[in-house]
Amino acid sequence: MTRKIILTIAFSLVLALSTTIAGQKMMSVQNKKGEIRSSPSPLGNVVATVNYGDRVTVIEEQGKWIKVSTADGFSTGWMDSSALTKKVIKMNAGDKNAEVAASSGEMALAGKGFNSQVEAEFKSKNKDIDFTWVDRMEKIKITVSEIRKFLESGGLKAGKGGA
Amino acid sequence: MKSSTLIITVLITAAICLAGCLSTLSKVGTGIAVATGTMSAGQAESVNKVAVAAEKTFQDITPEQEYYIGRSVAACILKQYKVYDNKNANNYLNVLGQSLSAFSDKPSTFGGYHFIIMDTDEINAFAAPGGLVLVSRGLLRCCRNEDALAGVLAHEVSHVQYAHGLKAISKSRFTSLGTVIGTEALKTFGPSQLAEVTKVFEGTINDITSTIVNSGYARKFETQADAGAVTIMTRVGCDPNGLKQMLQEMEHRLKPGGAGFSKTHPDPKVRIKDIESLIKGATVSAPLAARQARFDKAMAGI
Repeated sequence: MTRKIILTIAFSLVLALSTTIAGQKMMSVQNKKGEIRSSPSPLGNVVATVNYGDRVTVIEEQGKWIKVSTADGFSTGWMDSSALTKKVIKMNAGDKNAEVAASSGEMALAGKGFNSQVEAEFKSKNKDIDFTWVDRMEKIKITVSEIRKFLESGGLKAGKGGA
Repeated sequence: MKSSTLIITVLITAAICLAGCLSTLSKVGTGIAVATGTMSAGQAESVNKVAVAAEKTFQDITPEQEYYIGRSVAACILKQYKVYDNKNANNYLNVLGQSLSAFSDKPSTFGGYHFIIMDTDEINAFAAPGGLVLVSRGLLRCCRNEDALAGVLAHEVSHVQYAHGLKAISKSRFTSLGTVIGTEALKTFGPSQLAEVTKVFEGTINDITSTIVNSGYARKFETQADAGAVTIMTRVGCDPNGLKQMLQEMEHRLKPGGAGFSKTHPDPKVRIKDIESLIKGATVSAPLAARQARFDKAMAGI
């Protein structure tokens, strides 16, 4: 019986690792928000958004563009490679395993080092430094369709799919 | 040896071997592309080989940390310069700026690219790490058309994509930060640790702010940013001669020994000479009256 259990566990382990290596190349979203587009272009329509730390499955790579599918499998599309990292991003760091993995360089810890807590402390120490406009700047949102329209109406070649 | 024992041994050995392979595979390419976000995996690998030590420091800066650094750098600059609160002008700056950054080698950052006008006659512009770009009214007055303004913005986007700001951080900051937090996996700092990390953070902000406001980058970074600007403009269809025209206008307006670009940037004449060969033969979109009209409308109050 014990042998059977060990055999089953060992077999499952081999199977799990083989699947990871052979089939699925995974990456993590390293920006606050990641946009999945319908085509490998900055002007491609946004078909889904993913969050910081989300894992996506890599399907295909085309230069700086990576075709991915979301963990739930519902969305597939293209992301620019600067939004992705090969590292696993641990959102809730705190356990020993995370420490070991982080020191090996295979994992990034969200909130490690300079983070919102450090910014808050910096603000409390430097009350004369005002973040109002920094926050307002970040709220300025320009959509893909606005950019497309801007390029097209200006007769710029990027708007004609020439880029 | 019984056959079942043999099978177990084989399977466990295979599992260990595969685990080893997996570890090796995931290590390959987890280089600086992650830290700087500016390089392809192949480039990152080759840089890794020649500059492992220097590389390590930048590897430690995640896009999230770059974002927090950039926010504070921008806030420090805006302590010295007021914002020109004109919705139309700032919106136009963002549409043009983001049209350019979308075609840079780093189209996305942790918090995205955002642009704002500083209310000063001084000829100046700053790119905080992570994509917060500040441009003065004085510099906007050196731009006679959209291509000239595109030159200014694409130059700043290039400073962001090449992480020039982060390269101004003294190496000692990384050592200090490493000493304080090490491989600590805790997300929330205790009071003494927070004080230490914030001290390193303040030093980091000061390194970058004093470089971009007072001393300026090394000339090679400015040359690289101008070359990057020409590339981005060409991809979009803007005429890179706009950058040259802007520099010519700047040359007329800059006061020798004055503040802003006269102390932080190479002489416009030198910059023009450096980009001449790059802009020769660039294929550009035909200028449209619509572009001049929207530029004039947005910049009317400048």
